[in-house]
Amino acid sequence: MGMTKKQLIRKTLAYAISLDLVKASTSNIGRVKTSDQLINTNVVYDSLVQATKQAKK
Amino acid sequence: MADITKIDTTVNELMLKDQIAQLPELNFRSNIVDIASAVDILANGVSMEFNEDDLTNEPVEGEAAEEMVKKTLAAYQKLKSNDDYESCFVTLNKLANKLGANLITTFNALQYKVKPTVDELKASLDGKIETIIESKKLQHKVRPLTEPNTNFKVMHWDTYLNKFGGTEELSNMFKDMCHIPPSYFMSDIDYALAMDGKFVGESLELDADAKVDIERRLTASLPQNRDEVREVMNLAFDAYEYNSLVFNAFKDPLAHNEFSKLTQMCTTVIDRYQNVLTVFRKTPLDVTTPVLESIHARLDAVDQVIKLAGYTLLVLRNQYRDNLVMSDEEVNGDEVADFENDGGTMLDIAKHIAVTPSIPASGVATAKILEMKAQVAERYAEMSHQYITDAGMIKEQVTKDAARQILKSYLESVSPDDLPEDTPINEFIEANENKIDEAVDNLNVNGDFHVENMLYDFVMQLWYRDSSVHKAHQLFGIETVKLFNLSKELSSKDLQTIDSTVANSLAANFIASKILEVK
Repeated sequence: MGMTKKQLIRKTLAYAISLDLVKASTSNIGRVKTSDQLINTNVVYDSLVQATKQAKK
Repeated sequence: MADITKIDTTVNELMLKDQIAQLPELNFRSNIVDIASAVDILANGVSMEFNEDDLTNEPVEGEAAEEMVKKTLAAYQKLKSNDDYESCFVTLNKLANKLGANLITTFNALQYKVKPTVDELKASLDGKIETIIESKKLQHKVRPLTEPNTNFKVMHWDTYLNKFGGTEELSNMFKDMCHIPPSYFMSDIDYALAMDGKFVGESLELDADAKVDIERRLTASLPQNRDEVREVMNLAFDAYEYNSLVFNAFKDPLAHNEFSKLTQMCTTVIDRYQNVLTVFRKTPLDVTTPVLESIHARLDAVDQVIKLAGYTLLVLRNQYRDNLVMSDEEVNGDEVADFENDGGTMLDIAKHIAVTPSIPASGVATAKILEMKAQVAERYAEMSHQYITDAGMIKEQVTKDAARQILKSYLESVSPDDLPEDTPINEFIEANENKIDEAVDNLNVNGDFHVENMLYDFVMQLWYRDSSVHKAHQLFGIETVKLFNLSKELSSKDLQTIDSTVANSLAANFIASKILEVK
C-alpha cells in the first residue's frame, strides 16, 4: 500500500527541511566550506539517509 | 552564519523522487516546540501550493508521486523568499547555527587539542623506543632486513707477489733467508720466525737532530707518506716497535690459525713499508759512516719482515687453493672467474657466509659453495623469515614497554587545571591507569599508523569518552581508510570529502536522534 498524497507531501517536506538543517549547520566548517558543492550535496543526502536508517533500528 | 533560505533544496529532487517511498518516516519532535511549530507553518505554506485534489488520502505512486515530490520541493523553496515565513527560517537557522558551533568546537578539539597531544606523545614514544633499544643493545635485532653485503674484497695475489719478482723470486728469497728449500706450508713461516738472530728488534740510539734530519729528507721524497715514513723509522730504530710488528703480523695470527688476518697483515706491511724502505735505502743521509752502517743493518731487518710478508702471501695462496671464501669480507681472486663461469654469484657467496656460523681458517671451498647453492638459498630464506618474525616481536614488546612508560608519565604530568573537580592527581592516575593497558594491549605494531591509533584511543578514552569528539575521530578514521583503500594517496579533494562526510554525518546523526522521530 503506497503513501497518500498528503503523507507524501509531509514526508518530502520533512526530508527537505532536515537536509537544509544538516547542510546549513556544516557550511562553516573547515574544508567543507570550500569543498565541491555537488559532492557535498550528495554527502549531505547520504549522511541523513544513513542517520535516519540508523535511528530507526 | 547559517542561512537556510540561501540553500537550493531542489537539487535533491532526483534522489528524493527515486527513494522517498523506501526512506523511513520522519517527524519533528513535538516537544521541541519552536522547531515543530515552524515546520507546521511551513507545511501549511507548502500545502497552499496544492489544490484540494492533491491533499486527499488516496494513495499515490509512480510518476504522479514523483511529480508531487518535485512540486513539494519547489513549493518549499518558494517559501524561502516569502517574508511571511521568515520567522520559521530564523528558528531553523538558530538550530543550525547552534549545531554548527558545536561541530566547530568538536573539529577544533581534534585539531588543536587532541592532535598536538598525540604528536607530543608520539615524539616521546619514539625517543623512549630508541632509548630502550640502545640500552638493551637491540639495534642489530630490529634494524630492517636488507640484502646481504656482496661488496667483497677480492684478493689479487699476483699484485703482491709481483712486487717481489714473482713466485720463483720469493721462493729463492726464502731459501736465502732460511737456508732450507721452501715447502710452501705455514711451517716455513714458523721456521723463519724461530731462527736465531732473525726477526728480533734492536734499538738504535740516534740523536734527536739526526732523526729530524732523516725524516725531513725522506718526506721530501715521499710527501704523501709522512705516517709511513715515521712508522718505518720506528721499526728500524725502536726494538719494541719492531718486535710488536713481528708479533702482530705473524706470530699472533699464526698461533690462532687466523689466516685471513695473516693475509690482511701481510698486505698491509707490503703496502705501507715496501716503497718507503726502497726510498730510505737510496736517500743520502748526513751521518757518520759507522752510524750509516748501523742504520742500514736495521733497514735490512725491516726488509726481512717485508720479504717474509711476501713469502707468507705465497704460502697463503697455496693454503687457500680451491677455496673461494677467505673470510666474511674477502674472496680468493684465483677462484672468482671459475666460480662465476660455473654460475655462482656474489649473492650466493653472501648467503653462504650468512648461514655459516663461522668461516674455517682455511676458507670455504668453491665447489662446496656451488654444490650447496640451492640448500643455502632455502636456509637463508628461512633465516630471513625468522629474523623478520623475531624483529617484529622484539619491536612490539619494546614499543609496548615504552608506551606504558610514557603514558604513565603523561598521566602523572596532567596539570591540576585539567583534572576533574575535587580529584587529586593520585586518584586521577589510579582511576585511569587501566586505560594505559587497554590501549597498549591492543597495539599490533606493523608501522606508525597503529602506534598513532593507539595514542588517539588513549587520549579519546581519557578525555573524550562517548563524546562528539570521540565520534568524529572514529568517523575520520573510517572515512580516511575508505579513501586510502581506493587511492593509497589522499588528494586535497579527498581531504575535503573526508571533512564533509564527517561533519555531515555528525550533524545528521544529531538531527536524526535528537530533533526527529524516525519510524
